[in-house]
Amino acid sequence: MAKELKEMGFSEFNHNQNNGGLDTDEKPEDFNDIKIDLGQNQAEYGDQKLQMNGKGNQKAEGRHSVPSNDNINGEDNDQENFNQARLNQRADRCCNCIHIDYYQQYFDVTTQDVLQRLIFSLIPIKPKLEQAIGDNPEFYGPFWIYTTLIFLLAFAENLHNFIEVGYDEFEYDFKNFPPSLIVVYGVGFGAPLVLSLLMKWLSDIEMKFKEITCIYGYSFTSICLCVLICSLPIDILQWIAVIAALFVNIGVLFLNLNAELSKNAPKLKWILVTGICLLQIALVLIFKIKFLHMIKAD
Amino acid sequence: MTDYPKELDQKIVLGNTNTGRSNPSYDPEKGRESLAKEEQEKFDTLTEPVCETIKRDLLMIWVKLTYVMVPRTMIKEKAKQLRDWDLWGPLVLCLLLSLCLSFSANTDDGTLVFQIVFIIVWAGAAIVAINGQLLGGNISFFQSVCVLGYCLFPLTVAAFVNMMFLQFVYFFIRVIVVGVAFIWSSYSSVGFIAEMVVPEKKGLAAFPVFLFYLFLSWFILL
Repeated sequence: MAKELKEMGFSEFNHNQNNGGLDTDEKPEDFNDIKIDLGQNQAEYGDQKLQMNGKGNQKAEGRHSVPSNDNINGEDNDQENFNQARLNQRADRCCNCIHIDYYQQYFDVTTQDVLQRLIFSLIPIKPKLEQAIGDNPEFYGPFWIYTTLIFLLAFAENLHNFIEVGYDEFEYDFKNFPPSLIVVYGVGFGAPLVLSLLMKWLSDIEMKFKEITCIYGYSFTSICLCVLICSLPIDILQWIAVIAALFVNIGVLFLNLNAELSKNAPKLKWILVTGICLLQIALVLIFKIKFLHMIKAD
Repeated sequence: MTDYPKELDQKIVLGNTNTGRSNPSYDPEKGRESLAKEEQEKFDTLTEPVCETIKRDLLMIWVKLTYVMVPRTMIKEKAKQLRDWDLWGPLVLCLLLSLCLSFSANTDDGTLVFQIVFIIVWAGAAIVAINGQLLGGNISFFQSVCVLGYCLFPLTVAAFVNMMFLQFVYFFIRVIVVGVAFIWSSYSSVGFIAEMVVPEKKGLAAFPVFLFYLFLSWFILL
Protein backbone atom coordinates (compact mmCIF):
# COMPACT_ATOMS: atom_id res chain seq x y z
CA MET A 1 0.00 0.00 0.00
CA ALA A 2 2.80 2.33 0.89
CA LYS A 3 4.49 1.57 -2.40
CA GLU A 4 1.38 2.37 -4.42
CA LEU A 5 0.90 5.61 -2.56
CA LYS A 6 4.49 6.61 -3.08
CA GLU A 7 4.12 5.91 -6.77
CA MET A 8 1.19 8.24 -6.88
CA GLY A 9 3.40 10.91 -5.43
CA PHE A 10 2.44 10.94 -1.79
CA SER A 11 5.20 11.35 0.71
CA GLU A 12 5.02 11.21 4.44
CA PHE A 13 3.67 14.27 6.15
CA ASN A 14 2.18 13.43 9.47
CA HIS A 15 2.11 10.12 11.21
CA ASN A 16 1.44 8.61 14.57
CA GLN A 17 3.86 5.76 14.30
CA ASN A 18 6.87 5.33 16.53
CA ASN A 19 9.11 4.00 13.85
CA GLY A 20 8.80 7.20 11.83
CA GLY A 21 7.59 5.57 8.64
CA LEU A 22 4.45 4.41 6.98
CA ASP A 23 2.93 1.43 8.65
CA THR A 24 3.26 -1.21 6.00
CA ASP A 25 1.67 -3.95 8.06
CA GLU A 26 -1.77 -2.53 7.80
CA LYS A 27 -3.29 -3.20 4.46
CA PRO A 28 -6.59 -1.62 3.49
CA GLU A 29 -9.26 -3.81 2.02
CA ASP A 30 -9.24 -1.66 -1.01
CA PHE A 31 -8.50 1.90 -1.92
CA ASN A 32 -11.88 3.03 -0.65
CA ASP A 33 -10.37 3.12 2.81
CA ILE A 34 -8.10 5.91 1.75
CA LYS A 35 -9.59 9.38 1.63
CA ILE A 36 -7.88 11.49 -0.97
CA ASP A 37 -8.45 15.21 -0.97
CA LEU A 38 -7.32 16.68 -4.25
CA GLY A 39 -8.19 20.19 -3.17
CA GLN A 40 -5.67 20.09 -0.31
CA ASN A 41 -3.38 17.56 -2.00
CA GLN A 42 -3.57 15.33 1.01
CA ALA A 43 -4.63 11.81 1.72
CA GLU A 44 -5.85 10.25 4.91
CA TYR A 45 -5.72 6.62 5.74
CA GLY A 46 -6.80 5.70 9.19
CA ASP A 47 -4.82 8.02 11.39
CA GLN A 48 -2.08 8.73 8.93
CA LYS A 49 -1.97 11.84 6.87
CA LEU A 50 0.07 12.07 3.72
CA GLN A 51 1.00 15.09 1.70
CA MET A 52 1.27 15.15 -2.05
CA ASN A 53 4.71 16.26 -3.07
CA GLY A 54 5.50 18.32 -6.11
CA LYS A 55 6.20 15.46 -8.47
CA GLY A 56 2.86 13.81 -8.08
CA ASN A 57 1.00 17.06 -8.33
CA GLN A 58 0.12 16.73 -11.98
CA LYS A 59 -3.37 18.05 -11.89
CA ALA A 60 -2.88 21.34 -10.12
CA GLU A 61 -2.25 24.49 -12.11
CA GLY A 62 -0.86 27.38 -10.13
CA ARG A 63 -1.86 27.51 -6.52
CA HIS A 64 -5.37 26.24 -6.93
CA SER A 65 -6.19 22.88 -8.38
CA VAL A 66 -8.52 22.23 -11.28
CA PRO A 67 -12.07 22.06 -9.98
CA SER A 68 -13.06 18.50 -9.28
CA ASN A 69 -16.52 19.04 -10.65
CA ASP A 70 -18.54 15.91 -10.38
CA ASN A 71 -21.72 17.27 -11.80
CA ILE A 72 -21.07 16.59 -15.43
CA ASN A 73 -21.29 12.82 -15.52
CA GLY A 74 -21.44 11.98 -11.89
CA GLU A 75 -18.15 10.17 -12.24
CA ASP A 76 -14.95 11.66 -10.85
CA ASN A 77 -12.71 9.29 -12.73
CA ASP A 78 -13.88 10.49 -16.10
CA GLN A 79 -13.25 14.09 -15.18
CA GLU A 80 -9.74 13.31 -14.00
CA ASN A 81 -8.98 11.39 -17.17
CA PHE A 82 -10.26 14.29 -19.22
CA ASN A 83 -8.15 16.78 -17.29
CA GLN A 84 -5.11 14.61 -17.73
CA ALA A 85 -5.79 14.34 -21.45
CA ARG A 86 -6.16 18.09 -21.63
CA LEU A 87 -2.85 18.64 -19.87
CA ASN A 88 -1.11 16.26 -22.21
CA GLN A 89 -2.63 18.02 -25.17
CA ARG A 90 -1.41 21.32 -23.77
CA ALA A 91 2.14 20.12 -23.46
CA ASP A 92 2.29 18.96 -27.05
CA ARG A 93 1.07 21.96 -28.95
CA CYS A 94 3.15 24.83 -30.23
CA CYS A 95 2.22 28.51 -30.08
CA ASN A 96 0.75 28.40 -26.63
CA CYS A 97 -0.18 32.02 -26.39
CA ILE A 98 -3.20 31.88 -28.66
CA HIS A 99 -4.99 29.46 -26.38
CA ILE A 100 -6.98 30.63 -23.40
CA ASP A 101 -5.35 28.08 -21.11
CA TYR A 102 -2.07 29.93 -21.34
CA TYR A 103 -3.57 33.04 -19.83
CA GLN A 104 -5.11 31.24 -16.89
CA GLN A 105 -1.86 31.70 -15.00
CA TYR A 106 -2.53 35.43 -14.89
CA PHE A 107 -5.93 34.96 -13.27
CA ASP A 108 -5.02 32.55 -10.54
CA VAL A 109 -6.61 34.16 -7.50
CA THR A 110 -9.56 33.63 -5.16
CA THR A 111 -12.39 35.91 -4.11
CA GLN A 112 -10.91 36.23 -0.66
CA ASP A 113 -7.57 37.41 -2.05
CA VAL A 114 -9.17 40.00 -4.28
CA LEU A 115 -11.33 41.42 -1.50
CA GLN A 116 -8.34 41.65 0.79
CA ARG A 117 -6.28 43.46 -1.83
CA LEU A 118 -9.12 45.89 -2.53
CA ILE A 119 -9.35 46.81 1.13
CA PHE A 120 -5.61 47.20 1.49
CA SER A 121 -5.46 49.43 -1.56
CA LEU A 122 -7.52 51.99 0.33
CA ILE A 123 -5.08 52.26 3.23
CA PRO A 124 -2.23 54.70 2.50
CA ILE A 125 -0.47 54.15 5.81
CA LYS A 126 1.49 50.97 5.48
CA PRO A 127 2.52 49.05 2.36
CA LYS A 128 0.01 46.31 3.07
CA LEU A 129 -1.04 45.93 -0.54
CA GLU A 130 2.37 44.75 -1.56
CA GLN A 131 2.44 42.26 1.28
CA ALA A 132 -0.97 41.01 0.28
CA ILE A 133 0.08 40.55 -3.31
CA GLY A 134 3.20 38.71 -2.27
CA ASP A 135 4.33 36.49 -5.06
CA ASN A 136 1.00 36.16 -6.81
CA PRO A 137 0.30 39.16 -9.00
CA GLU A 138 -2.65 38.85 -11.31
CA PHE A 139 -4.59 40.76 -13.92
CA TYR A 140 -8.13 40.04 -12.76
CA GLY A 141 -8.20 42.90 -10.25
CA PRO A 142 -6.70 45.60 -12.48
CA PHE A 143 -8.79 44.67 -15.52
CA TRP A 144 -12.13 44.65 -13.73
CA ILE A 145 -11.33 47.78 -11.75
CA TYR A 146 -10.63 49.61 -15.02
CA THR A 147 -13.84 48.24 -16.55
CA THR A 148 -15.83 49.30 -13.50
CA LEU A 149 -14.22 52.71 -13.69
CA ILE A 150 -15.28 53.15 -17.32
CA PHE A 151 -18.79 52.06 -16.48
CA LEU A 152 -18.92 54.44 -13.52
CA LEU A 153 -17.66 57.35 -15.62
CA ALA A 154 -20.44 56.83 -18.17
CA PHE A 155 -22.98 56.24 -15.41
CA ALA A 156 -21.96 59.28 -13.39
CA GLU A 157 -22.00 61.61 -16.35
CA ASN A 158 -25.42 60.49 -17.54
CA LEU A 159 -26.87 60.46 -14.05
CA HIS A 160 -25.59 63.98 -13.58
CA ASN A 161 -27.29 65.08 -16.81
CA PHE A 162 -30.45 63.27 -15.79
CA ILE A 163 -30.66 65.03 -12.46
CA GLU A 164 -29.95 68.40 -14.03
CA VAL A 165 -32.27 68.13 -16.97
CA GLY A 166 -35.11 65.91 -15.81
CA TYR A 167 -36.73 62.92 -17.40
CA ASP A 168 -38.41 64.46 -20.42
CA GLU A 169 -35.45 66.17 -22.00
CA PHE A 170 -32.84 63.67 -21.00
CA GLU A 171 -30.59 62.40 -23.75
CA TYR A 172 -27.90 59.79 -23.49
CA ASP A 173 -24.45 61.14 -24.08
CA PHE A 174 -21.92 58.52 -25.00
CA LYS A 175 -19.54 60.76 -26.87
CA ASN A 176 -17.04 60.36 -24.08
CA PHE A 177 -17.25 56.60 -23.96
CA PRO A 178 -14.57 55.67 -26.54
CA PRO A 179 -12.09 58.26 -25.24
CA SER A 180 -12.59 57.06 -21.69
CA LEU A 181 -12.08 53.48 -22.83
CA ILE A 182 -8.79 54.39 -24.50
CA VAL A 183 -7.55 56.59 -21.69
CA VAL A 184 -8.30 54.17 -18.88
CA TYR A 185 -7.01 51.01 -20.50
CA GLY A 186 -4.11 52.83 -22.13
CA VAL A 187 -2.88 54.49 -18.98
CA GLY A 188 -3.81 51.54 -16.83
CA PHE A 189 -1.69 49.07 -18.72
CA GLY A 190 0.65 51.51 -20.45
CA ALA A 191 1.98 53.38 -17.44
CA PRO A 192 3.19 50.23 -15.67
CA LEU A 193 4.73 49.10 -18.96
CA VAL A 194 6.62 52.36 -19.35
CA LEU A 195 7.64 52.25 -15.72
CA SER A 196 9.01 48.75 -15.92
CA LEU A 197 10.86 49.53 -19.12
CA LEU A 198 12.37 52.64 -17.54
CA MET A 199 13.44 50.67 -14.54
CA LYS A 200 15.08 48.09 -16.72
CA TRP A 201 16.82 50.70 -18.84
CA LEU A 202 17.96 53.19 -16.24
CA SER A 203 19.03 50.72 -13.64
CA ASP A 204 19.31 47.01 -13.49
CA ILE A 205 16.28 46.27 -11.41
CA GLU A 206 13.99 43.61 -12.68
CA MET A 207 10.72 44.88 -11.39
CA LYS A 208 8.27 42.87 -13.27
CA PHE A 209 5.45 44.22 -15.33
CA LYS A 210 2.92 41.96 -13.62
CA GLU A 211 3.62 43.27 -10.15
CA ILE A 212 3.59 46.92 -11.10
CA THR A 213 0.36 46.52 -13.05
CA CYS A 214 -1.22 44.78 -10.11
CA ILE A 215 -0.32 47.52 -7.63
CA TYR A 216 -1.24 50.26 -10.08
CA GLY A 217 -4.55 48.66 -10.95
CA TYR A 218 -5.62 48.17 -7.36
CA SER A 219 -4.73 51.77 -6.55
CA PHE A 220 -7.51 52.86 -8.88
CA THR A 221 -10.08 51.65 -6.35
CA SER A 222 -10.07 55.04 -4.68
CA ILE A 223 -10.62 56.76 -8.02
CA CYS A 224 -13.62 54.49 -8.68
CA LEU A 225 -15.19 55.51 -5.40
CA CYS A 226 -14.46 59.14 -6.14
CA VAL A 227 -16.20 58.95 -9.52
CA LEU A 228 -19.20 57.29 -7.92
CA ILE A 229 -19.50 60.14 -5.44
CA CYS A 230 -19.04 62.70 -8.21
CA SER A 231 -22.29 61.58 -9.80
CA LEU A 232 -24.16 63.60 -7.20
CA PRO A 233 -24.54 67.23 -8.22
CA ILE A 234 -23.07 68.78 -5.08
CA ASP A 235 -19.96 70.83 -5.84
CA ILE A 236 -18.26 70.72 -2.47
CA LEU A 237 -18.76 67.00 -2.12
CA GLN A 238 -17.23 66.41 -5.52
CA TRP A 239 -14.07 68.36 -4.79
CA ILE A 240 -13.66 66.76 -1.39
CA ALA A 241 -14.01 63.36 -3.01
CA VAL A 242 -11.43 64.23 -5.66
CA ILE A 243 -8.87 65.47 -3.16
CA ALA A 244 -9.37 62.51 -0.84
CA ALA A 245 -9.08 60.06 -3.70
CA LEU A 246 -5.89 61.67 -4.95
CA PHE A 247 -4.41 61.57 -1.48
CA VAL A 248 -5.22 57.90 -0.98
CA ASN A 249 -4.15 56.93 -4.48
CA ILE A 250 -0.78 58.63 -4.41
CA GLY A 251 -0.16 57.46 -0.87
CA VAL A 252 -0.84 53.85 -1.75
CA LEU A 253 1.28 53.96 -4.89
CA PHE A 254 4.14 55.72 -3.15
CA LEU A 255 4.28 53.34 -0.22
CA ASN A 256 3.94 50.19 -2.19
CA LEU A 257 6.40 51.00 -4.92
CA ASN A 258 8.71 52.60 -2.41
CA ALA A 259 9.58 49.40 -0.67
CA GLU A 260 10.73 47.86 -3.90
CA LEU A 261 12.48 50.94 -5.25
CA SER A 262 14.46 52.05 -2.22
CA LYS A 263 16.05 48.65 -1.92
CA ASN A 264 17.68 48.87 -5.28
CA ALA A 265 17.74 52.38 -6.70
CA PRO A 266 17.45 55.17 -4.16
CA LYS A 267 18.39 57.89 -6.60
CA LEU A 268 15.78 57.05 -9.17
CA LYS A 269 13.14 56.73 -6.54
CA TRP A 270 12.24 60.37 -6.25
CA ILE A 271 12.17 60.97 -9.99
CA LEU A 272 9.91 58.06 -10.65
CA VAL A 273 7.64 58.71 -7.74
CA THR A 274 7.23 62.35 -8.70
CA GLY A 275 6.44 61.28 -12.24
CA ILE A 276 3.76 58.92 -11.02
CA CYS A 277 2.21 61.54 -8.78
CA LEU A 278 1.97 64.05 -11.58
CA LEU A 279 0.42 61.44 -13.83
CA GLN A 280 -2.21 60.54 -11.30
CA ILE A 281 -3.12 64.17 -10.64
CA ALA A 282 -3.44 64.79 -14.36
CA LEU A 283 -5.59 61.71 -14.78
CA VAL A 284 -8.02 62.55 -12.04
CA LEU A 285 -8.34 66.11 -13.22
CA ILE A 286 -9.06 64.87 -16.73
CA PHE A 287 -11.77 62.63 -15.36
CA LYS A 288 -13.26 65.41 -13.37
CA ILE A 289 -13.18 68.15 -15.95
CA LYS A 290 -13.61 66.41 -19.24
CA PHE A 291 -15.76 63.43 -18.43
CA LEU A 292 -17.82 64.74 -15.65
CA HIS A 293 -18.21 68.26 -16.79
CA MET A 294 -21.28 69.97 -15.63
CA ILE A 295 -23.76 71.32 -18.09
CA LYS A 296 -24.60 74.86 -17.24
CA ALA A 297 -28.21 75.61 -18.02
CA ASP A 298 -28.28 77.81 -21.07
CA MET B 1 -17.91 -4.16 -30.00
CA THR B 2 -17.83 -3.19 -33.66
CA ASP B 3 -14.94 -1.12 -34.97
CA TYR B 4 -15.47 2.60 -34.82
CA PRO B 5 -13.19 4.97 -36.72
CA LYS B 6 -10.89 7.30 -34.80
CA GLU B 7 -12.78 10.45 -35.80
CA LEU B 8 -15.83 9.21 -34.00
CA ASP B 9 -13.81 8.67 -30.86
CA GLN B 10 -12.55 12.20 -31.08
CA LYS B 11 -16.13 13.41 -31.37
CA ILE B 12 -17.01 11.42 -28.30
CA VAL B 13 -14.37 13.15 -26.21
CA LEU B 14 -14.59 16.67 -27.58
CA GLY B 15 -18.29 16.91 -28.22
CA ASN B 16 -20.30 16.44 -31.35
CA THR B 17 -20.32 19.67 -33.27
CA ASN B 18 -22.44 18.21 -36.08
CA THR B 19 -25.53 18.00 -34.01
CA GLY B 20 -24.56 21.08 -32.06
CA ARG B 21 -24.37 19.27 -28.78
CA SER B 22 -21.45 19.86 -26.51
CA ASN B 23 -21.97 17.27 -23.86
CA PRO B 24 -18.97 15.06 -24.37
CA SER B 25 -18.93 11.69 -22.79
CA TYR B 26 -15.71 10.41 -21.39
CA ASP B 27 -16.62 6.76 -21.37
CA PRO B 28 -15.93 5.35 -24.82
CA GLU B 29 -18.49 2.57 -24.69
CA LYS B 30 -21.38 4.74 -23.60
CA GLY B 31 -20.20 7.48 -25.87
CA ARG B 32 -20.21 5.34 -28.98
CA GLU B 33 -23.77 4.25 -28.45
CA SER B 34 -25.10 7.72 -27.78
CA LEU B 35 -23.09 9.14 -30.64
CA ALA B 36 -24.53 6.57 -33.04
CA LYS B 37 -27.97 7.48 -31.86
CA GLU B 38 -27.30 11.20 -32.28
CA GLU B 39 -25.99 10.81 -35.79
CA GLN B 40 -29.04 8.83 -36.76
CA GLU B 41 -31.34 11.44 -35.28
CA LYS B 42 -29.54 14.11 -37.27
CA PHE B 43 -30.24 12.33 -40.51
CA ASP B 44 -33.87 11.95 -39.55
CA THR B 45 -34.29 15.69 -39.09
CA LEU B 46 -33.28 16.40 -42.67
CA THR B 47 -36.40 14.78 -44.02
CA GLU B 48 -38.97 16.27 -41.70
CA PRO B 49 -41.19 19.19 -42.70
CA VAL B 50 -40.03 22.72 -41.89
CA CYS B 51 -42.76 23.50 -39.42
CA GLU B 52 -41.72 20.46 -37.39
CA THR B 53 -38.22 21.85 -37.14
CA ILE B 54 -39.45 25.28 -36.20
CA LYS B 55 -41.82 23.85 -33.62
CA ARG B 56 -39.03 21.84 -32.09
CA ASP B 57 -36.71 24.85 -31.90
CA LEU B 58 -39.43 26.99 -30.36
CA LEU B 59 -40.12 24.30 -27.81
CA MET B 60 -36.41 24.18 -26.98
CA ILE B 61 -36.36 27.93 -26.44
CA TRP B 62 -39.47 27.71 -24.26
CA VAL B 63 -38.01 24.94 -22.12
CA LYS B 64 -34.88 26.95 -21.44
CA LEU B 65 -36.95 30.03 -20.64
CA THR B 66 -38.87 28.07 -18.04
CA TYR B 67 -35.56 27.17 -16.48
CA VAL B 68 -34.63 30.82 -16.23
CA MET B 69 -38.04 31.85 -14.94
CA VAL B 70 -37.91 29.51 -12.00
CA PRO B 71 -34.32 29.78 -10.85
CA ARG B 72 -32.61 27.50 -8.37
CA THR B 73 -34.62 24.45 -9.28
CA MET B 74 -31.39 22.85 -10.34
CA ILE B 75 -32.72 19.47 -11.27
CA LYS B 76 -30.09 17.75 -13.29
CA GLU B 77 -32.10 17.38 -16.49
CA LYS B 78 -32.83 21.07 -16.59
CA ALA B 79 -29.19 21.88 -16.05
CA LYS B 80 -28.29 19.45 -18.81
CA GLN B 81 -30.72 21.12 -21.19
CA LEU B 82 -28.94 24.40 -20.75
CA ARG B 83 -25.74 22.68 -21.74
CA ASP B 84 -27.29 22.01 -25.14
CA TRP B 85 -26.62 25.58 -26.01
CA ASP B 86 -28.30 27.48 -28.77
CA LEU B 87 -28.14 31.15 -29.65
CA TRP B 88 -31.68 31.62 -30.99
CA GLY B 89 -33.12 32.48 -27.60
CA PRO B 90 -30.45 35.05 -26.77
CA LEU B 91 -30.81 36.63 -30.21
CA VAL B 92 -34.58 36.95 -29.92
CA LEU B 93 -34.35 38.34 -26.40
CA CYS B 94 -31.59 40.77 -27.31
CA LEU B 95 -33.54 42.07 -30.29
CA LEU B 96 -36.68 42.48 -28.21
CA LEU B 97 -34.77 44.32 -25.52
CA SER B 98 -33.06 46.65 -27.98
CA LEU B 99 -36.33 47.38 -29.76
CA CYS B 100 -38.20 48.12 -26.53
CA LEU B 101 -35.46 50.42 -25.33
CA SER B 102 -35.13 52.24 -28.62
CA PHE B 103 -38.89 52.81 -28.82
CA SER B 104 -39.09 54.12 -25.29
CA ALA B 105 -36.12 56.44 -25.69
CA ASN B 106 -36.61 59.92 -27.06
CA THR B 107 -36.82 59.84 -30.86
CA ASP B 108 -33.41 61.30 -31.59
CA ASP B 109 -31.74 58.66 -29.56
CA GLY B 110 -33.53 55.60 -30.87
CA THR B 111 -30.88 54.29 -33.25
CA LEU B 112 -28.04 55.04 -30.90
CA VAL B 113 -29.72 53.20 -28.06
CA PHE B 114 -30.46 50.18 -30.23
CA GLN B 115 -26.84 49.99 -31.37
CA ILE B 116 -25.43 50.38 -27.91
CA VAL B 117 -27.68 47.81 -26.29
CA PHE B 118 -27.10 45.25 -29.03
CA ILE B 119 -23.33 45.64 -28.92
CA ILE B 120 -23.19 45.67 -25.15
CA VAL B 121 -25.24 42.51 -24.86
CA TRP B 122 -23.06 40.45 -27.18
CA ALA B 123 -19.71 41.97 -26.27
CA GLY B 124 -20.57 41.80 -22.57
CA ALA B 125 -21.64 38.17 -22.81
CA ALA B 126 -18.42 37.34 -24.65
CA ILE B 127 -16.26 39.07 -22.05
CA VAL B 128 -18.04 37.41 -19.16
CA ALA B 129 -17.70 34.02 -20.82
CA ILE B 130 -13.98 34.54 -21.46
CA ASN B 131 -13.57 35.68 -17.87
CA GLY B 132 -15.17 32.47 -16.67
CA GLN B 133 -12.82 30.41 -18.78
CA LEU B 134 -9.78 32.34 -17.60
CA LEU B 135 -10.72 31.63 -14.02
CA GLY B 136 -10.48 27.95 -14.79
CA GLY B 137 -14.09 27.24 -15.56
CA ASN B 138 -14.98 23.96 -17.17
CA ILE B 139 -17.77 25.25 -19.31
CA SER B 140 -17.57 26.15 -22.96
CA PHE B 141 -17.73 29.69 -24.27
CA PHE B 142 -21.06 29.27 -26.05
CA GLN B 143 -22.74 27.68 -23.07
CA SER B 144 -21.95 30.78 -21.01
CA VAL B 145 -23.19 33.10 -23.75
CA CYS B 146 -26.36 31.00 -24.01
CA VAL B 147 -27.06 31.19 -20.28
CA LEU B 148 -26.40 34.91 -20.07
CA GLY B 149 -28.63 35.50 -23.06
CA TYR B 150 -31.51 33.49 -21.65
CA CYS B 151 -31.21 35.22 -18.29
CA LEU B 152 -31.94 38.49 -20.06
CA PHE B 153 -35.58 37.45 -20.08
CA PRO B 154 -36.63 39.28 -16.87
CA LEU B 155 -34.94 42.46 -18.05
CA THR B 156 -36.73 42.21 -21.41
CA VAL B 157 -40.04 41.85 -19.62
CA ALA B 158 -39.22 44.88 -17.46
CA ALA B 159 -38.31 46.94 -20.52
CA PHE B 160 -41.56 45.92 -22.22
CA VAL B 161 -43.63 46.74 -19.16
CA ASN B 162 -41.85 50.07 -18.87
CA MET B 163 -42.54 50.92 -22.46
CA MET B 164 -46.20 49.98 -22.49
CA PHE B 165 -47.56 50.80 -19.08
CA LEU B 166 -45.23 52.83 -16.97
CA GLN B 167 -44.43 55.83 -19.09
CA PHE B 168 -46.50 58.17 -17.02
CA VAL B 169 -46.04 56.74 -13.59
CA TYR B 170 -43.82 57.86 -10.76
CA PHE B 171 -40.16 57.17 -11.30
CA PHE B 172 -40.04 55.25 -8.06
CA ILE B 173 -42.27 52.49 -9.38
CA ARG B 174 -40.03 52.05 -12.39
CA VAL B 175 -37.08 51.72 -10.05
CA ILE B 176 -38.84 48.92 -8.20
CA VAL B 177 -39.82 47.06 -11.36
CA VAL B 178 -36.33 47.27 -12.86
CA GLY B 179 -34.76 46.41 -9.51
CA VAL B 180 -36.82 43.24 -9.23
CA ALA B 181 -35.94 42.27 -12.79
CA PHE B 182 -32.25 42.85 -12.13
CA ILE B 183 -32.25 40.71 -8.99
CA TRP B 184 -34.16 37.95 -10.79
CA SER B 185 -31.76 37.91 -13.75
CA SER B 186 -28.69 37.90 -11.56
CA TYR B 187 -30.06 35.17 -9.31
CA SER B 188 -30.81 32.91 -12.28
CA SER B 189 -27.49 33.30 -13.95
CA VAL B 190 -25.34 33.23 -10.82
CA GLY B 191 -26.74 29.82 -9.95
CA PHE B 192 -25.40 28.50 -13.19
CA ILE B 193 -22.14 30.44 -13.26
CA ALA B 194 -21.25 29.36 -9.74
CA GLU B 195 -21.45 25.75 -10.78
CA MET B 196 -18.77 26.23 -13.37
CA VAL B 197 -15.85 27.44 -11.24
CA VAL B 198 -14.23 26.40 -8.00
CA PRO B 199 -16.17 27.70 -4.96
CA GLU B 200 -13.33 30.03 -3.97
CA LYS B 201 -13.64 31.87 -7.25
CA LYS B 202 -17.42 32.06 -7.34
CA GLY B 203 -17.49 35.75 -6.44
CA LEU B 204 -14.93 36.57 -9.08
CA ALA B 205 -17.01 34.90 -11.79
CA ALA B 206 -20.24 36.45 -10.56
CA PHE B 207 -19.07 40.07 -10.34
CA PRO B 208 -18.87 40.66 -14.13
CA VAL B 209 -22.35 39.18 -14.47
CA PHE B 210 -23.66 41.72 -11.95
CA LEU B 211 -21.89 44.52 -13.77
CA PHE B 212 -23.36 43.41 -17.08
CA TYR B 213 -26.94 43.26 -15.83
CA LEU B 214 -26.49 46.46 -13.86
CA PHE B 215 -25.48 48.30 -16.99
CA LEU B 216 -28.54 46.99 -18.84
CA SER B 217 -30.85 47.79 -15.92
CA TRP B 218 -29.56 51.31 -15.83
CA PHE B 219 -30.38 51.61 -19.52
CA ILE B 220 -33.91 50.42 -18.93
CA LEU B 221 -34.35 52.80 -16.04
CA LEU B 222 -33.15 55.92 -17.75
